[in-house]
Amino acid sequence: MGFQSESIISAASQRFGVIDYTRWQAIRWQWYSYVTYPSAGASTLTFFGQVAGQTGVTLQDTNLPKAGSFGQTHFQLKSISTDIQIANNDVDGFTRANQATLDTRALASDFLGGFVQAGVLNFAVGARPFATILKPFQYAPPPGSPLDYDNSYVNQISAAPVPAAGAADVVGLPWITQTKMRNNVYFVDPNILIEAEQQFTVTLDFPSGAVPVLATNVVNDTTNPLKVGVIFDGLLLRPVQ
Amino acid sequence: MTPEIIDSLQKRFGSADFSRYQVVRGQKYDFVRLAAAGTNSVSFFSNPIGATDPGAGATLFKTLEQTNLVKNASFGQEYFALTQIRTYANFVCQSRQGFTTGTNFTYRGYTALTNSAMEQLQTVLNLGVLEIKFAQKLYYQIARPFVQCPPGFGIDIQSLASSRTGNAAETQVSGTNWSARADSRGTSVYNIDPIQIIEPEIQIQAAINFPNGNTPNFTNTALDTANGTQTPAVELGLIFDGYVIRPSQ
Repeated sequence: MGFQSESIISAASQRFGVIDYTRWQAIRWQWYSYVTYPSAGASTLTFFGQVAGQTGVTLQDTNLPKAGSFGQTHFQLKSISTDIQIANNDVDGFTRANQATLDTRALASDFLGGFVQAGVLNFAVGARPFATILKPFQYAPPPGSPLDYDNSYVNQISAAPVPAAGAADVVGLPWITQTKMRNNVYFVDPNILIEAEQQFTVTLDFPSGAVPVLATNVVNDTTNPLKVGVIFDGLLLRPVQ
Repeated sequence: MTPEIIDSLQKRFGSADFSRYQVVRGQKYDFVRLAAAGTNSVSFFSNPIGATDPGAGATLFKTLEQTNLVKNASFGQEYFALTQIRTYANFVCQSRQGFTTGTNFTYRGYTALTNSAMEQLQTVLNLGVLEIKFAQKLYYQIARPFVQCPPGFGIDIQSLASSRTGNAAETQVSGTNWSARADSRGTSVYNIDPIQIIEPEIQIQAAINFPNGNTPNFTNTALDTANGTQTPAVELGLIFDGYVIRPSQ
């Protein structure tokens, strides 16, 4: 038996409320949070710490209703994905003329030898850890990538290499993405139910040292920022109206 | 009487409820640097967070990026249900290499030269015998572990591209830049069926041995933007994927 005030609120809610808390609805839902990966790298990046509408944060960055929690809905977490996005990859710079600085001309460098090869993702509910994912951009990739590219020699920028000494050549365009196989997604099995208003934290940490961006001619923190994201996929549980 | 008293105190004042257990997916992982001059054995789960990595010299301390082991050779006070064994071998990211890599290292460095670092890595990926013991009893003995127990994660290289000069030392021709790596498909991992329960405090010994001889010598591998020689840092990894079984709080 609850306190009298609870009984009063319950009775009032049933008669005059706009929500029916005795019946719940489940829909597939994704919560996502993208933050800027600074060119200089960082020791920690925090996700789900901001909501859309804050300075510089739009619905493209996050759909979280409340910092650090899912607000008044429950969420059954089924999978965790990471994502990497940049507005303009600008691989046009990968040319023979830029032979001396090619690593800085395509984001593929960062996939091969940069931050994609490092990091650890920490997910905790309350203060209790529920996932520690190594190399999360590889271990927890997105389920699909639309950034497909058909490797063909038609894409070669230059002609066949010139064997003469001193003749620098660049062959093809580098194009690398996270894996895009549904089976590679980090499935949370058994699922984790995160209750309404439950505080949680998601951080991407580099305890062995920050990893600067290699493609510095592509990434610009102000005009073409590199964004990294974490996506929680699962079931949103909300009361029927 | 002592166990009863402790049990009673724990139930009244303890921070964990040992009568109820929680199951969450989790990994136990350990990445170690490969000794550059070559070695005939690489041990895993020997050095916890904060310890030095034997393959990396005395100054590199392991962090959560290399291992989540908090205790030497055991998973501590948790049960772990092992469902997958994954291995890993690759170069560490450029900013953690022991030398300055330059700005066209990626597209000329690893593969452009004869007997390159990438060729050496490919040799590592084709060798080895993984042996795992629990409480000194052999449970797994897997030849060519990087083939049989691939990581099941990685990146998707659709076009690698390359660059070259006409320098005679660079023997590559059009489109020959390549990257050696194990299978990145999640469906290819080595599944444990039936699953293997590892009880708390059980001693774990895991190693990849190279009985036919040492791993290739990466010291002064032909590699860098000026066709010079450097010693790239390579890390090997062993990942146990499964379920952590822990008391509720």
